[in-house]
Amino acid sequence: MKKNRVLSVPFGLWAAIFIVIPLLLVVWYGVTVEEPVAYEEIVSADGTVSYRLENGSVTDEKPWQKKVTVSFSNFRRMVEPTYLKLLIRSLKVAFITTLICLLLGYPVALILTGKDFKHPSLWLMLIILPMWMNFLLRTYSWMSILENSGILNSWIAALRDKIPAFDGWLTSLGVGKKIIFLYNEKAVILGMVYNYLSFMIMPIYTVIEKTDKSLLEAASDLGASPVQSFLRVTLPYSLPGVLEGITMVFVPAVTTFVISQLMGGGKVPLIGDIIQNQFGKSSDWHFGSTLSLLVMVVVLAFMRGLNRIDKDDEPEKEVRIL
Amino acid sequence: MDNNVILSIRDLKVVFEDGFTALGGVSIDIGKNEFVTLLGPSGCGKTTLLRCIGGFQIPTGGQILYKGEDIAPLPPYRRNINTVFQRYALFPHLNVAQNVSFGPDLRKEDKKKTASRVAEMLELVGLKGFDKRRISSLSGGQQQRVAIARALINQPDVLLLDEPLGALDLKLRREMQLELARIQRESGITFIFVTHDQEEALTMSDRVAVMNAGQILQLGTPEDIYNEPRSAFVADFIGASNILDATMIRDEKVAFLGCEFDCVDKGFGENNAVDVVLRPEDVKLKPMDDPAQNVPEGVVESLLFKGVHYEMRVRTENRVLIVHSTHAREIGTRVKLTVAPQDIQVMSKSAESRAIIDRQTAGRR
Repeated sequence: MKKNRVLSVPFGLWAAIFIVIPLLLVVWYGVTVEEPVAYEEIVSADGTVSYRLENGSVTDEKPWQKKVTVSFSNFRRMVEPTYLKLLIRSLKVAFITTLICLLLGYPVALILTGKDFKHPSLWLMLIILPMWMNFLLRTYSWMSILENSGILNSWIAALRDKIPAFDGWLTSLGVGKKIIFLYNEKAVILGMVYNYLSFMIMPIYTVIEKTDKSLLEAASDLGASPVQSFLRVTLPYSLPGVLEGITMVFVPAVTTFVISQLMGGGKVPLIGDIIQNQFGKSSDWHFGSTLSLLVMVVVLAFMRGLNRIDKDDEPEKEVRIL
Repeated sequence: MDNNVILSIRDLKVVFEDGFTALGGVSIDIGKNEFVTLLGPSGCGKTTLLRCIGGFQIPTGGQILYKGEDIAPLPPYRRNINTVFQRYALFPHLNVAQNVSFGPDLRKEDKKKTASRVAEMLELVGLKGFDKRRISSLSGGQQQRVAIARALINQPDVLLLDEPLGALDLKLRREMQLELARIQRESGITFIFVTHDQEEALTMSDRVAVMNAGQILQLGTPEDIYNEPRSAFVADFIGASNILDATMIRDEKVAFLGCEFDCVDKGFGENNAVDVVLRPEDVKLKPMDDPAQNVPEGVVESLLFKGVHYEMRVRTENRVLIVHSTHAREIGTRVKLTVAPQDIQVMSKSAESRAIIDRQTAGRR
């Protein structure tokens, strides 16, 4: 026990310096505002201007200082419809992304763990391989595929030239010469699904892989068809993996700003974009921190909800001791 | 017999992708209400045979006739055969009653009826009142019983048991052996039991199939297998034995240890090399003044008290024999060795004979 405590010191230090202190700073910034100091302009008889500060001192120079005061005005600003709408859109986009990742990822994990599937680790590596490339590079690649004069559009154009029937069909559907794929919510979701899919596949794969295969044999032996075996054994056992996958996808999806900037072209701002903006262009760290706190609370509430599902499951998934 | 056969396995072959032959053409007929044990060392193919019958392994050749119909290609869930798995494979997310009712629930049977059947099954396996208990709170023996109840509730015609007692300690194992035999009698279901424990096989079974290298070497009652092994492998695997090189002089006359003996075996030709197996309890030690003539002589080399009997090693000219007797003889005593004609079991030489005899010879020096 004592030894373990010693081993935890490096991480404790790390956590204190890089997690706890920044977090406290965010909270501090979040509950404060920065205002120019108040002053009174005094014009004397000879026309010179001087300034009297709150504390009574008088200076010739125009006061430039700002003062930081504790104020919850940023919290009032935060719940303005503009920002709430952005938060709701972020949650919606993240939810759709998570759902698509789950619908795509679960079957993949299931197929990879199938007993007749050859070389699952090779396929798993192929799935993870793109993740070894830079995140921005991957997103830019999608842009060059999807942009108006991009690869996809030029292929479609070529096909239209070659096959008049195809061209006629697209025209009858009202599809223009250039299809606009990018800079809308769908493009943002595509970018997120592409970037986060493997985070869904991995935990589900791991859990299904670890499930005792003899349980499936037992289910089959007792008369369960493959579908029944899946519903009664595989699915309940993979639930922890599913919950982990959901967390791994949903949380970054709620907070991302790069994907929405690149794939959305600034037309689909998410809450992450606004926060980033506060620390960048608008340079209002205080409001940025308040928004960060909001997102943090939302994410924490979400994880708590998921944990509850997991906890409900806990007493049942306990490992058997033989 | 034919009318009574429920499962007829014909020339069953399993060759794995890597070329390993797990079953090299096995045939066996299993009767209704029979307790048949597949016995053999690990890797002999006994579990593969069981998995073929259960439907977990598709054979590469041969037939499994169940009530006359070939079920070899059917998946497990289409067979009225249930399995008790080696590690029980109970569902840890379900309690005892839910585990037992898994089969009936799948078939959407009446809940009330199922509940009373579950209670009945739990009583049969001696777990009355355990309904709501969690699997992880049960001991190995109790889990074993749940696994049996979960299989039996489906009223299978055949129950397959894959080394179900392997994980239990000796005392519990003995207890479960008796329990299983009782359950088999009471339920009237055919049991096919896989084990590598020869004592277990002899105690519980109506018939035993001794397997090695993907073949059934001998199929018979426990008494047959023990008293009349047909090959050195079977004799060596079942119980303690002395396997010796011998020469069949003519019918009912065999020579080993440099002496000639009367025996009851015929049909091995004249002056042919054969194997002879002597069970340790069948070798009698006589004092030197005994009237027996032309018998091997030896010296007691070691003496061990084994509870019911003494185990002695007796050195003759060519090798050391193991002898069991209730009558101890001092180390260093010179004795005559006699064997009654019906206690001499003559066997044809087989591929394994040389290795087994050499091992017995070497292991006892």
